Amino acid sequence: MTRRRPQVFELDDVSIEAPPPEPDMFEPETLAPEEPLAADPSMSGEADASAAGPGRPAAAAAPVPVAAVSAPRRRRRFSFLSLFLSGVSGFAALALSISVYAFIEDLLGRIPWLGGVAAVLAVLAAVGLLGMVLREWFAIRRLKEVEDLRARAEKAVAQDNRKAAIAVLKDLADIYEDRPTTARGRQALKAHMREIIDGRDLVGLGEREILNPLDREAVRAIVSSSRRVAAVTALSPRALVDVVYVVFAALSLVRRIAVIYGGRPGTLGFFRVLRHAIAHLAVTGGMAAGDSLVGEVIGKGIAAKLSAKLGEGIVNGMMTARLGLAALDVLRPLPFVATRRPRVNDIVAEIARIAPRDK
Amino acid sequence: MRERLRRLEDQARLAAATLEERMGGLFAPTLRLGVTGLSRSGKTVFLAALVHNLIHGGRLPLFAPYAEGRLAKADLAHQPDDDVPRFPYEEHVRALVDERIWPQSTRRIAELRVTIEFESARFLNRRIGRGTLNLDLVDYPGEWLLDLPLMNLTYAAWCVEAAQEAHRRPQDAAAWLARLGDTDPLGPAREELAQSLAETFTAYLKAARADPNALASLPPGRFLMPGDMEGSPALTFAPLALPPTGAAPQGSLWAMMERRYEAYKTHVVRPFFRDHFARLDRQIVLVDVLSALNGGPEAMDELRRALTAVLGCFRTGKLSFLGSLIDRRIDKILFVATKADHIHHTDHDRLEKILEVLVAEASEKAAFAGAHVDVAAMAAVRATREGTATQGGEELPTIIGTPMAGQRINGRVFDGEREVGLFPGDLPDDPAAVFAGPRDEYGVTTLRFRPGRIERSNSGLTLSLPHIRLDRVLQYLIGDRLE
Repeated sequence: MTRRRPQVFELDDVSIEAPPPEPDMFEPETLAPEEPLAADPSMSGEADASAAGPGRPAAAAAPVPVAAVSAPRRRRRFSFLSLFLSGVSGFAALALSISVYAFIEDLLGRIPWLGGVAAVLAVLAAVGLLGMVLREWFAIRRLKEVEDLRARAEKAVAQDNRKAAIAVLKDLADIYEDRPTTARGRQALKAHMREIIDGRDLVGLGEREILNPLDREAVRAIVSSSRRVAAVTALSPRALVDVVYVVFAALSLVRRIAVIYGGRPGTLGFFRVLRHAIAHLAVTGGMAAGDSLVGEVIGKGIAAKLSAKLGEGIVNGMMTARLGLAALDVLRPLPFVATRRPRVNDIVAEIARIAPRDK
Repeated sequence: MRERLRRLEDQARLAAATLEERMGGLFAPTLRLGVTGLSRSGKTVFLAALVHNLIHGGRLPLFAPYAEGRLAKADLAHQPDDDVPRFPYEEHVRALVDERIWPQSTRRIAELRVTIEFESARFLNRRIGRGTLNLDLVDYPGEWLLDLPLMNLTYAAWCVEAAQEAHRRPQDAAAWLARLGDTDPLGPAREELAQSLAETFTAYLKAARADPNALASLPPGRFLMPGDMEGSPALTFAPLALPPTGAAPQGSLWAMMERRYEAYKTHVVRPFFRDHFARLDRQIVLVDVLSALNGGPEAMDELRRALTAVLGCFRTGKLSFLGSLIDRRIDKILFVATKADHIHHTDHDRLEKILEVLVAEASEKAAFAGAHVDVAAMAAVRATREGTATQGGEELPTIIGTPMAGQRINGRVFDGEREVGLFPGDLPDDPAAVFAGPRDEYGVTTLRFRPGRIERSNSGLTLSLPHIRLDRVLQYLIGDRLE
């Protein structure tokens, strides 16, 4: 490959843009010259870029704004089940709408004013349904965006790619634009993006500047939820009560974490999150790399010796914590790069510390 | 035998000093950061920028203690050794900011201590530790660094090596090689002869260093930067063309030269090493890769040999807890390609790759001994901005800055006032290519830029010195001690 040779440009001769050209994110403070720089290339050397031969393609070297790269979607495979289901649901919808139509028409013929009321009600229901569907759709799309963002961030970290990292951080700042607590972090991030910082470090900075307060909030939610589960289990008189409460607490915890990281997940979105969190839990067993089983077994043993109920409480609290951490892993828009992943042990320590006091 | 005794003595002294420091360090631990670099690699600028950014709180987003707000204060403190001049940090910063010139080359050793007050992020450390770290920094002429490999060379071995080096630079060494040819090492020792030999040798060393393509100067470093020892017998010697075997006859020139060489090692090299390099905890190795690139494969090879030889003298590796009470080892080394602001950031990865190849041998050795090793491209003081120039439909990543007065490229001479854009040329994708193959005429320029104008904020405060990746470097070198 031919390497292009050095050459000097006059400041006024060749248009020199302020890098990197992203208007709203990068107010060019010091980088942009005051007046627009005019054209006409001339260098003191005899070299001509075209004569220097085909060097590196310009796009590779020049800071070009990178379009968000979406991760390859898994194609949904054709299946007879889905064909059947869509046929049935289409048929049902058709039948329903025909019967509603027939019902209203019939009613209009018999008692006209009641027919009018029925028509209005039907429209209301249709509008409500549409709204619900739209909201769910938006919520799910948002969740997908977050997932996509994390995948892209992971890629940027792995390749240490600055451009990809900047694109990720821009999207991250967009996600949290309506979150006033992240205002300062977003501002700081804008400044960082103007500097020469490697991709991996940039993602780490994004974590610290924007996600740090959210992480703390999420961990707090997990701790308080697990603590409550532990206390309720330890105190409840009937097993059924704990089971109901544990399920209820787990569900509300997952929803709360979803709200902390990504706004309202909606009902379908919530199920999606729950499914992912449970799948994640199944894969990792809720164990982060740093967790040790030994400590848990010993700790549990001691707790159980003290009181069977208290031991049970701690176990249930720990399970809730696991689920919460799994949800956190699934919902956090960036991977853990510069920050330490919260571990079950951290939370168990908190539960254990407070449990006696709560009792 | 004497050699071994001397080494033993050094070891004992070191152990005593370390133990004493560790005891005192229970309350305010000390971290000695070794800044290693050949001459003109940017040691002084790095130190000035580091101290300035720490004290004045520059933009250091990646330096965690600072960014997380745990660093309460960093201040200059009394230096540990009273007999070493203080590093004139204020002068250097003033020169950089007000006059916009780079510091003069360092002529003597200087020291500075920065005390960092911080709060630990860990609960236990916060309760027990004092939250103070003394950071000791040493600046010295890079020429002296190449003396360190002499410690392990006998006079005869050094003579062979010096002759080899001289044959690599026939133009500079012609006069001295001729002199070497007609001097009889077995002849009687005469002071005038020794003096004139040393003079010729020094003239050759100076000529070799003045060569624009030369990167590493040749030892002994004090011949180039004598400091306060000028004219003393320890500096009046030269290599001779020795017979391959045999010992020096009494009263011969050979015997005298050998004694003086040993005296140089004893009185100059060993104390220099013992006082400043034997007790390091962390090391940063500054390498001016861009100049070497411009010098072609020979320059790269010369740099590689010099770095490997110098780094072989340091004590790297991990120590056990008990061992660390009486001994010190360098447990983290960072190799840094300096002056990264002289190329566009899209080329920084390539620069790092080249540096990796350049220091591969030294870094493997260190990693094998158990030290952490990393490389980075850095500009301690950033002198350029970046832009894009379009020419003939091709976009060229360009840096914008003010070339220093007298700098020239393609026959054009700069006046030191005018700001220009420069496309510095592409770095090769394959780092090994710069070691093989002929010298690339179209290489990267070594056009040198003046330090940029420092921005002032609206209230008229001088903002911190701009840099590239200084924060990352700091985080790597001292971040873990401030956790």
